[in-house]
Amino acid sequence: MLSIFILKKISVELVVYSIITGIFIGIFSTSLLRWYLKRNVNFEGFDVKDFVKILASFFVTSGLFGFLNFGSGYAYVKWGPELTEAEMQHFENYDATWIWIVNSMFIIGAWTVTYLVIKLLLKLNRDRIERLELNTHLKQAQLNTLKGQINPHFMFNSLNNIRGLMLEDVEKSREMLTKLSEILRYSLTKNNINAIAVEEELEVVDNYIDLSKIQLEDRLEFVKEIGEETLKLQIPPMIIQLLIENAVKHGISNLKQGGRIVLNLKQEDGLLIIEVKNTGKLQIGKNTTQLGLKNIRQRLKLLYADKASFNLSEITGEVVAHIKIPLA
Amino acid sequence: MKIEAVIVEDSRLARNELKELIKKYPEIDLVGEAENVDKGFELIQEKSPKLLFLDINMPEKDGFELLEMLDEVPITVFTTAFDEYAIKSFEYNALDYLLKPVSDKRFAMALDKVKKKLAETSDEKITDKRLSANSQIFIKDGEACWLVKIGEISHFEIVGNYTRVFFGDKTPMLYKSLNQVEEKLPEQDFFRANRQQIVNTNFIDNVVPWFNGKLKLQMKNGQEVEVSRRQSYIFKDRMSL
Repeated sequence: MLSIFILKKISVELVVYSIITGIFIGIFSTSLLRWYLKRNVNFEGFDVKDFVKILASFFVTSGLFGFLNFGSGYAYVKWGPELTEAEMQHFENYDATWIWIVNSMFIIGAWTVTYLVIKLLLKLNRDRIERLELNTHLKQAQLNTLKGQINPHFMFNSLNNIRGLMLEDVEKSREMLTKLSEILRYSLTKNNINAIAVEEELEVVDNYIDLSKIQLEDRLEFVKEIGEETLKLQIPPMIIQLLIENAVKHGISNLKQGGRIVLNLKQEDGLLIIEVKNTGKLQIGKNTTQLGLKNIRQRLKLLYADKASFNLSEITGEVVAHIKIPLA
Repeated sequence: MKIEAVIVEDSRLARNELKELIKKYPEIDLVGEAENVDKGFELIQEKSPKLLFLDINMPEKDGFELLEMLDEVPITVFTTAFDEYAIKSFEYNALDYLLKPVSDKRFAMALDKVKKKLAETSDEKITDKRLSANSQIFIKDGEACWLVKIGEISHFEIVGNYTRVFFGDKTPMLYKSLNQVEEKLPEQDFFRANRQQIVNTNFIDNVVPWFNGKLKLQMKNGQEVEVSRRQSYIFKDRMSL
């Protein structure tokens, strides 16, 4: 097409005709190419097959483009106005097949490269946004952990109960204050650690249960069934603690008569199995944001991908939380 | 003047703590305590105290549900560890709340408010089952809650099986039938104008004769209420018109 304009003494009709047919043919054949590439080439995971497809479709499109161009020129010569000498010469040049082949390959090639570059840039941008979003989610998850760790309701209730306890048993009040400080210290310092020994986590659980007992008194019964072999295993901090917290908050403290929490830890087939059972019914949605559960799921997913599992179910009047963690 | 009070709170130690604060005020006469809403309801029915210290988080039913169960609500001071959002759902703020642990100073302030409110309320003792103009009722419509004095309500209107309450510029729904409401209202202040409406006679601005011997009431808030023929006779009689 470029060569057309280099030649002189060409009639206005031919120039207009060439531009219009050129644009039309160009849009037509590249649209076909784009349609094909979009449907058949996988830009996400690019491989040799995709490259062959691009190359093949490029040749086919070039052929089509050249053929249509040739056809339009032919039509002009046959039915158009009489040609000037320069025009004759111009068309004669085109009789040589290689010229229009090179010409159309050059144009379609330039188009294909541009198309691929734009695709690539868009993809890079999309990847960047996805990465940012993932980062935000991670940050959010970390924030949620923080929020989950110090439950203000628990803290203020405990402080108030200790104040009340001082009126009747100073020694026990002193002990409870120490336990509350230990819980606070644990949640403030173990926040950035990814693994902790089971026995260390169990200390926090005991403290938490003791403090809950001064609120719930004989409404709370706690039973531990701990496999000796699990004590030294490393687990993500606050996982057992959050399960126990959920069992107290959504289970026992909602029951007028109270109930029982059973914590069971055992090692099986290279997995640590954590099971927390509490009296009560599984109530999803009512007055809960499920922040605690989401938090556990998210952390297990981040740490173990699909190798860990967590599920919550109701079995004969008891809510059962079940976690499996692969051992390192 | 003794202020009869009850505590409804599930934690025994928290009740002890509150009792310790109350001890310093001999004018408060603690007549009972309850550890959950159902026991609290019975206690309040039995003692009809003037003042209620109420925890929000309790097993099975929360403090708000207790208020909903009561026909007449005592002056209520909420005690809560961290439920500010729940307290803030009160649009018509006729109550106080204390955050646990409670300081002596904050408790004294709350008690001052209670006394002021009690002083506003005349000391008439309720003789029958009916409420007085100073009685408070609790209304919860969706997320919003109100504690309203009966005397502040201009009229009630039937909506299906329930009743719409008009006070100030608020019109929440009360989940009781108009007949149930009528049974409780003080007879000297409220008048059944027709099948659909009960009006507070203190809110009537003008009475206009209407056709067929009926009357039309022009209310102070600009609303007009038509009185049925039968009720018009009664109304004329009552107002000695």
